[in-house]
Parts: sequence; C-alpha cells; structure tokens
Amino acid sequence: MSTHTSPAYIRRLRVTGFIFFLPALIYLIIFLLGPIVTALIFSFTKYTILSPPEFVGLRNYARIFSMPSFWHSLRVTFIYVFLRITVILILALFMGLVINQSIPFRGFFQSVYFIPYVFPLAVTAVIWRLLYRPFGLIDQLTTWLGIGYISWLSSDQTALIAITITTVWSATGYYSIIILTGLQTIPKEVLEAAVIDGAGTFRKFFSVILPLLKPTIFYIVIVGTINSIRGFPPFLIMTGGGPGEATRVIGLMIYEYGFTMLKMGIASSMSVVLLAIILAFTLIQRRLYRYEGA
Amino acid sequence: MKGVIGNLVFRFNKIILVIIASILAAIFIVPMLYTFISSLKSTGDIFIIPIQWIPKRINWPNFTVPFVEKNFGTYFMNSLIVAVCVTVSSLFFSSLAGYSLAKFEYKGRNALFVIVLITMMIPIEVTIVPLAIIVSNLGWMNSYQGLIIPLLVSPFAIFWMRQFIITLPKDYAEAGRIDGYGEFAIFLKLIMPLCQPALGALAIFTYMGNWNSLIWPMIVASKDRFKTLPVGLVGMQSLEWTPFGEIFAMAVVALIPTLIFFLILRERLIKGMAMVGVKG
Repeated sequence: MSTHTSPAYIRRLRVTGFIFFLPALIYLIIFLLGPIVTALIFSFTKYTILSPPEFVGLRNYARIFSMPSFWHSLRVTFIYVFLRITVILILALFMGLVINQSIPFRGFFQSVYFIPYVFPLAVTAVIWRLLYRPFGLIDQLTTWLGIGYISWLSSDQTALIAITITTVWSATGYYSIIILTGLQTIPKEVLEAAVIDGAGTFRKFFSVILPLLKPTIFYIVIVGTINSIRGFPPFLIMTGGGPGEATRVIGLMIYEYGFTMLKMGIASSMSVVLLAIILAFTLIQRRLYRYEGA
Repeated sequence: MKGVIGNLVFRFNKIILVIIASILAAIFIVPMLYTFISSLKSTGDIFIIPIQWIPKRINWPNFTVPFVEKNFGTYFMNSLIVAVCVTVSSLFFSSLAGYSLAKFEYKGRNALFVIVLITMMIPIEVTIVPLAIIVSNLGWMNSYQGLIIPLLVSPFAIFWMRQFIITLPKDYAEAGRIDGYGEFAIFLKLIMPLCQPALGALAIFTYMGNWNSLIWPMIVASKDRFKTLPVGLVGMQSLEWTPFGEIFAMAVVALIPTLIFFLILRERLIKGMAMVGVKG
C-alpha cells in the first residue's frame, strides 16, 4: 500500500496545517479577539481611572444614545466617509483610465499619483496643517487665484472639507492602482469592439467600462470606508475635533473618552457601536458583491 | 474618411487626457515640492509672499537642531526598530498562516479564515482600550515590548498571503514531499521563494504601516526614550514657539525611508498588488 494515500499521511498533513496556523491563532486570540470580547464586557461596566469595572447593565448605551455629541460625531463620520469615497472614486477612476492608456509620461503620472500614499499619514497631516496656515501654500494659492484667504481648519464650514482634501490627496494613488488592476482584467477585445461600434468616449466609459468595473468599485467602497473610519490621526493632528465639534469623528471621540477623559466604560460602549456599524456595513456589501455575481 | 476623423478625435482626446493628467499631477506634486523646499528654509522665509521656490539661503540647522538639541535621533531609531521587527515577524508568521489556509485541509480551516476576515475589518479604535489595559498590566508601558508585540501578526497580511499562495500549483509541495523534505522545509525552501512578489509588496505595506503608526506609540510611549518619529513630530507642533522649518525638515526625514523603498521597489509593489487582485 502506498503511503501517499494512507490515512496516517493525511492526518499528519492536517495536523501540520493546523500547527502552521497556530502561532497566528494564539496571537489573534490574545491581541485581537480577546480585546474585542473585553471591550464588549467593559461596555456594560462603569470603568474609570478612579474606579475598577463595576457592572451597570445597559446604562452606558442609554447614556451614549442620549448624547447629542455622540450622534453628531456619527453624522460627521458619515459625511466624511461619503465625501471622501466619492471624490476618491472619481479621481481614481480617471487616474486608472489615464495610466491604462498609452500616453506619454505614463509611468511618471503613476508614480506621482502614488507617492503621497507612501508618506506617513501622521506626517501628511502635520504638513497639511502647515499648508493651510495663513501665508502658507494654500493661502498663497487662493490669494493668487483671487479667492482670498480661507480659514480652512479654523472654520466649522470648511474644516471637514480641508481634512477630506488632505486624506484624498494621501490615498487616491493607491485606489487608482486597484482601479488599474480592475481595468486590466477587461479583455482588450471588449474595449476595441466598443470603439468599432462607434461608441463615444463617454458612452464607452459608462456603458462598457463602468459595468465591468463594478466588483472593483464595490471593493474600493468596502475597503475605503473601513480605512476612512480607521484613519482618525489626521483629525487628531489637524483640528483635534474642532472647531467646536465640527470634525469630531467617532474614532477620535473614542480615543478621547478612553485616553484623555479615562472613561473606559463609555469609550468601550462607543467602540462596540462602531464595531456593529462596520460589521453591518461589511455584511451588506458582501451580500451585494455576491449578488452582482462577481 | 470616418477612420481619419476618428483618428483625429482619438488624438484630440488623448491630448486632453494628458493635459488633465498633468494638472492632477501638479496638484499632487506641489505640496511635496513645497515641503522639501520649506525644509531648507528658516521659519521667516517659509511664510514670505510670494513663495520662494528656490530658497535664497539654506538653513541647515533645521536638520541638525532636532537631532542635537531634541531627541530626534532616538525617535528615528525607535521607529526603525519597531518597523523592522514587526515587518520581519509579520512576513514570517503571516506567510505560514496564509500557507496553512491556502494549501492544507483540516477541520475548522474555514472558520479560521472567517476569523481572519473579521479581525481584518476591526478598526484599532475598538480594541485599543482593552489592549492598553493588557499592556499596562503586563508592565509594558514605555517599553519596546509594548510598542512591538501587540503588532507582530496582521490579519491583513495573512489574508494577503493566503490569496497569493492559493494561486500556486499544488505540485510544488507534492514534489518536495516526494523528495523527502519536511513540511517546514517545503514552506521555507519551496513556497517562500515563490511568494517573492507578494512578500515584497507586503513588506513595504507592513513597514510603511508601522513606520507611520501614531496612535499606538502615542499611548504606549509617554517617555521620550520610547517615542517614535511621528509621535515626536506631532509633539513638536504643539510647542509654544513652533519651529516650522524644523517640522518640515523632520517630516522629510520621516518620509525619506519609505520614499526610497517605493522608488526601488516600485515595479514589484505594483505587480504584487495586481497579483493578489481585487477579490475582496
């Protein structure tokens, strides 16, 4: 009997496979799953730096849901994510299409669009905070264009937009490469057939390319949303949530409750709500994604 | 006839494309250029109207003062230590786990993959409070263990490697087994070399992610000795007298390592991303 088909051989492979995953599993349990469960437990306790955790049932949740500032921060987060993903999608689509063409300086354009993504996000935020200052780069630019000084970060009308511009600048190049990858899966014949049919550039884009890119776009919406929610350092660095509450996104609020005010119970219940939102969003997107037949 | 006109329209479209692409490129380049140039200027010169695109005098102390009079040398080393340790460890353990998910069949494998997918989605805000408490209880606040150990394996990296390894033919491992290699040797000597494109891109992502990270080091390191470069940089902007030239200079110092990485490995990075593809 050949050893290659014996159950012992198969069993040994199974054990090996699991052992290869074991270090990662132990790590995931201690540093990711464990903390998630702990956050869930903390969210039902009154827990501050002064008092050890004390079970209070749903009181934290009742409290945060009756907090206007909590709802406000969810709204700010939603506006930010929506604005950011929309702009990124439009720009990345355009960039991907351009890089996919045989135009002069293709490689150069690709590099230039991508480089801001390799800048550390904290560094980008520190730099852009200076760019928005009076007499800084952007002030000089708007003055030159005749618009005059805009108090970007210190006005509640523009602060969120200003941060969105910064984080769009920082990440669009990355998403354009994902678009490019999607474009390259579209068979050349399909595109050429569209040209022969006399489809105009815009019609070709909307009727041929865009539908074929749907899976890519869904992917960007999922990953982009989660990355946008995760990326609160620019808010911490550029505005600290201000002016007023104009840019207090949920991530920043959790951070402040957990580490500035040291109300760990409240912070945990907020983070559980955030977790629920992200999971729901992921599930919906996955459903849609599957439904699209990708 | 139609062909000629079509050709002209095609050319015309292309010219417009290049023009718009150039404008976009300018928008992307100008802030970088401004940063590099400002890093060479004194604070007074930075805010002169109009902007001096060629600095009249170069203010080298922007680069030396933070290292000599402040702790930027330490911050730089700390960033390097954290990023290198995390990258090496993450590449190893994540490839091993990704290989396990991609090429072995065992009970619970799908459940493990689901765990990876879920933990990948979890933002740090959710876990950060308990994580800080764990690290604090271990006595790891203000230590390299505290900075490094909670980051050693990344679910994203496992996912990334699994997606790549699953595209490799099974024959390689089988051939290795017939040749009498042990399973770990197969992984190390046969599978890992085949993963080079994916590993290259992952190495850059992981390195960048950790070189860049701000929130976790900010929580763990309150003492100067353990602060990383981004933490030091952010600290500098809240000084009473803001040294703008120095901030720009240290920003340049912080981004140069990843920039060099990118310029050297550009092709591999982009190829790696293309290979794993968009199968979210």
